[in-house]
Amino acid sequence: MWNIIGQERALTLLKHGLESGGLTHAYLFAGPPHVGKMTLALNLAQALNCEADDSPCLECDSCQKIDAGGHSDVQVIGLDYNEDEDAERKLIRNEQIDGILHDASLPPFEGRNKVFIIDGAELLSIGAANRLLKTLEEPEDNVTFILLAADENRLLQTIVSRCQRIELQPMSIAAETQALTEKLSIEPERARLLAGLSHGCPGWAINAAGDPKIMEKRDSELDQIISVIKGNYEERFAYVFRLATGFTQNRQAVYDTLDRWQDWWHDMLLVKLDRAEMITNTDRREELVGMSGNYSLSSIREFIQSIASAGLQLKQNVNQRLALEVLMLDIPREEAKALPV
Amino acid sequence: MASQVFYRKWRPQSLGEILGQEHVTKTLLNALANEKVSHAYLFCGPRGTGKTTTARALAKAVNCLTNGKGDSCNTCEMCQSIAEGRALDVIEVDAASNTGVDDIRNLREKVNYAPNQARKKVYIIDEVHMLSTSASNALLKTLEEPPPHAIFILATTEAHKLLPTILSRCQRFDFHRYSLDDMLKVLSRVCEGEGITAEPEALKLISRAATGSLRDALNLLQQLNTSYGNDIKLQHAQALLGISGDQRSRELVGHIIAKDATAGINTLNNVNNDGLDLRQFHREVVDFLRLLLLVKTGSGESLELTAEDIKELKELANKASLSQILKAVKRFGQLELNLDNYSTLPLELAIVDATLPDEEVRAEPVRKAAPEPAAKKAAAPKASPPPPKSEPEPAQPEEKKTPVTEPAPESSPPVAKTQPPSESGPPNAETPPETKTEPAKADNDAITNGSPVEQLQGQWSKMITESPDGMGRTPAAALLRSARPVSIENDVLVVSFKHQYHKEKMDILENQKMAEKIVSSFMGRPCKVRCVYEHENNHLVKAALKMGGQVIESEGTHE
Repeated sequence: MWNIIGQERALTLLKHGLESGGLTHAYLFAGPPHVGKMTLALNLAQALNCEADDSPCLECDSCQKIDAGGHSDVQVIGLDYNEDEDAERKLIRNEQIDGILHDASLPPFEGRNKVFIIDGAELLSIGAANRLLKTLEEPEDNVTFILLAADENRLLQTIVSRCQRIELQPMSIAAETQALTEKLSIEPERARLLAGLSHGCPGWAINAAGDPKIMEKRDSELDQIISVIKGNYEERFAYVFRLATGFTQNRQAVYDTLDRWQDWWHDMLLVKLDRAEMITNTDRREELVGMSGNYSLSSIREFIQSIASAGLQLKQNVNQRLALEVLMLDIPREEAKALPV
Repeated sequence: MASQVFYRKWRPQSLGEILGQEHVTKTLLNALANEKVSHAYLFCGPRGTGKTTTARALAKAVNCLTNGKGDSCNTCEMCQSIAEGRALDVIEVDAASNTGVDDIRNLREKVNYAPNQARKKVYIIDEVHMLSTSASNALLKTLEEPPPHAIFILATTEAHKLLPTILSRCQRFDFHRYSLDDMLKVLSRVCEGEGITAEPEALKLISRAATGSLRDALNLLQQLNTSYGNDIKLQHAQALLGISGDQRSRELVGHIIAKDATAGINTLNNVNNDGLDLRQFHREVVDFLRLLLLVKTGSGESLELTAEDIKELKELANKASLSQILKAVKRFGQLELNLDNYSTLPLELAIVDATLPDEEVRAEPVRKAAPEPAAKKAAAPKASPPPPKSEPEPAQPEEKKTPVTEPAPESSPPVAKTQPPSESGPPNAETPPETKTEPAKADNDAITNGSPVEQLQGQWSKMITESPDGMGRTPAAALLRSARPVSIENDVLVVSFKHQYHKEKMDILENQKMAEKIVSSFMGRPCKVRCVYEHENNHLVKAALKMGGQVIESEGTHE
């Protein structure tokens, strides 16, 4: 039983490989965060070590050990914790790779295959990535490497070329909605909303379904966005000030907020083009329809461009407050208000 | 249980078997035949071109027991032990894991011992670009003058990272990317060996996707084999690579030409839901647009297309104007899709851009300087006719019209405060309605109609920006921008200012001279410039301004 949602193409490949003994020693799973890379990798590790015939059974000792992270032949490495700085390290270090290279030279201890899963392979330091090359190309028998990467561009080409590259694409919204309703028994309307918000990456939707805080945060962010759009310059700048002060501590939160902005205006674009069934924020349809009537198509599309360029500027270390303030100035004016002069 | 991958299973075992790098193998074979094998080689080139393979084959060839002067036999004991990686005298060093100077010192010590069984001790140092500087330097002396029984083979993908002193001590061989033909030969050989029957077109597609790296190509082939068994069809390869087959890209281009953004976004959504590769789809759209452009410009005959394709392209080309196609090609051509971003948004924006009527798309939407009254005038008449095809829902034209038709005044709020109020009546009255559909014509008409002052007003910003010799960047030009021509009589131009300060500045002799120059060069005859200060004299407007209102549009009341 593979417990991944969607990804038929990857599954076919792996299943056929298991049946015919055609699995290889190195895989690269590439896809956006939350799409199911780790789930699939753990499944594959279970399948390679499962004791039942219909592998992975998810019930035998081996499968459960792997699920709990306690199997001695399945190792997952990712960013480790730096105690000196009390923070996560930014790269996967040489020593971590040296460790698994040494382990890879030993035969399996309790299972049939040794599986090494490298989470966030794009975060391998240059030295670590190069160290991996020779072993990744010709490891011992019974060793499988699984590299997971969200941003393939940052991987060495020599690494990619040594692996079977399997792309995990986001699911279509309809398919994800269906999967969420069937597997997690969420009512269809809420499933559609979660699917839209997750952009086809079921991991996010599952998290959000289990943790009400995520949706609460999203709702309050969205309320803020709407009030900022309707508000005057003073409110907008106060909003930017809050965002910009948080930026130094937590960049990702600001990027997420910008994504939220982009989703909102993307929805406006879709509503404007009469494609309201494709929107992301389905629970705010009325507000969207009301608001999009106030703007012209070209001003919506220009503002989406502005959001994108603001995001780019933030990534290029432009003064964050300046970039966000310019974005606020770019919010198009409502046309209905401008008319009666 | 992991089986051996194709790129390991089908690794060539002797120099003669290596296809596609003849410039390397031939040289090496000649060197072997003449017993002139050098003591240090550097193999560099892109991934998957056979560097390590060649290094191993060379190690075998110099040590082969049956034939000392040519290619390896692969049957003698020595060849076999090297192939299995258990020969004591062929030492493969992973330089990326042994980067330090101590590793190299260790190696230097051992080089001096004579080989155990083989004739030559061969050191294959792979990924040599990762050696630290001191490690590289420690290697230099040995690399230059090793003991007679040692051969060094360095292999790397990044030769530019090596020290020049290392480079100059080695015979350097650059491996090339595999050409399509060579790749096909290798692939069909592997197919034969594996008992796979594959369509030649599918193999071609794989070869193209692998961009010259044999290992990538073999990986793709293996994935296809695992997924679809021993009978590989073109459509399988297309599915693996996320290629749609070309119908839907054509459909999208059709929608763009018909200016139907809604249908275009529908098509895109379908493509995305089918899990196709958006980058690939984008490439197909650009290719098709390019063909359309070529057909439209009349150079379609040179293309190798079927008669049906030509017919379809011609029909489409007849429906569109050249500028429209050009715009779409440009917009889609500039698009860069990020690998990490699976969003359809960039493509959707491009579709909207390509289908919007010309005047609504401006290169730099808001950051431009305040639009001049003249620019506004020119834009307004163009915007007024609602282009029927751009209306997504023709059933309710009244509601839709407002947002579509008046973008110019409203969509630039941050700069509106500095914008001088324009005058001179409703702009629609200036141009006859039938010329409105042709933007270029409307422009010209706005210029040639009307009294001299009106003409000047119409071209005011053009006059300033296009004034010769960099005069457009002088302070005087800046002042002129905020002024409005009022009348022209006997070669004396009267301009009015909204602010006292501007008028005072313009009255400075230097600025006035420069302004006269600008105006004269535009009119083609010497002109004088006089300034007047004309403050807002409508008390209602004044009161509104005080309360924070903005002048959006004004009628010509104070003329």
